[in-house]
Amino acid sequence: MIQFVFYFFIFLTLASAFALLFVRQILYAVLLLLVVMLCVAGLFILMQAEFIGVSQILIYAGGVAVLFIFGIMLSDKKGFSFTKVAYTQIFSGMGIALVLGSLLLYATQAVKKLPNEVKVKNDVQQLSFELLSDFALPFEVTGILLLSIFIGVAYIAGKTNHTQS
Amino acid sequence: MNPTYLIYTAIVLVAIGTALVLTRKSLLFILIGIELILNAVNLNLVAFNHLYPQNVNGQTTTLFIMAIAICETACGIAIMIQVARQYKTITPSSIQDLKEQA
Repeated sequence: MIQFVFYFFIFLTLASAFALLFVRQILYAVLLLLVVMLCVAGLFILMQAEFIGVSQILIYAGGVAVLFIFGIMLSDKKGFSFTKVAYTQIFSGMGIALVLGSLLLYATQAVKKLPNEVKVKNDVQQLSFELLSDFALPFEVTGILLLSIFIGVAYIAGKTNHTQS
Repeated sequence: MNPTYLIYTAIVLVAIGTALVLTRKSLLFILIGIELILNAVNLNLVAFNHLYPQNVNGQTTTLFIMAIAICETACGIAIMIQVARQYKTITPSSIQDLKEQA
């Protein structure tokens, strides 16, 4: 059963990511991205990283997707020049992506010999200890970074220019 | 539940994200591609951490990557809103005010 759920999440992740390549509407793209994020969160939970999975749902589904949707809906469309063709340099771009993917597949041939099942205990406690002892400085720096980024973002996005209009 | 499949999934996600970044004309799609690549990195870290469960360095790094990812998205969308106000387009190749005249 768990095995089936695992393969189902992998299939749904790959299918939504593949559909992202062909979708034209930006809102559908954001919803597909949301499906990818939620399936990856499910995979995290199946890989016994429960805290990471819940953070993934909170941060990506609650934060990034809402940010994208507001970014689409709050930008004014007056005098906006929509591009007719949504793609550019399609053959070279796809070719580079294919070459990159096959190179990575070739480079990870050793992965085949990985062990199948590892018994892991539920280690949220260990994660919190590590986060507040070994990684205390990066933790604080990340907090300061988030604060400064959001002040800067509010300043940049809120600024209206009077010279153009 | 072999973590090998997760690593292959991460490889496909990286390839699709690269293709989105390289072939799309809209800044929003490029940001979505970058998000896909960052998610693939997270998947890889968690898969390898599942293989070596004596410490949780992979999961900790995943948390930091998530924080950086949301900073990057917020910055990108703010810049995109400002570019859309200024230039009335979000196609990167049509923003060429400082380009040298041919």
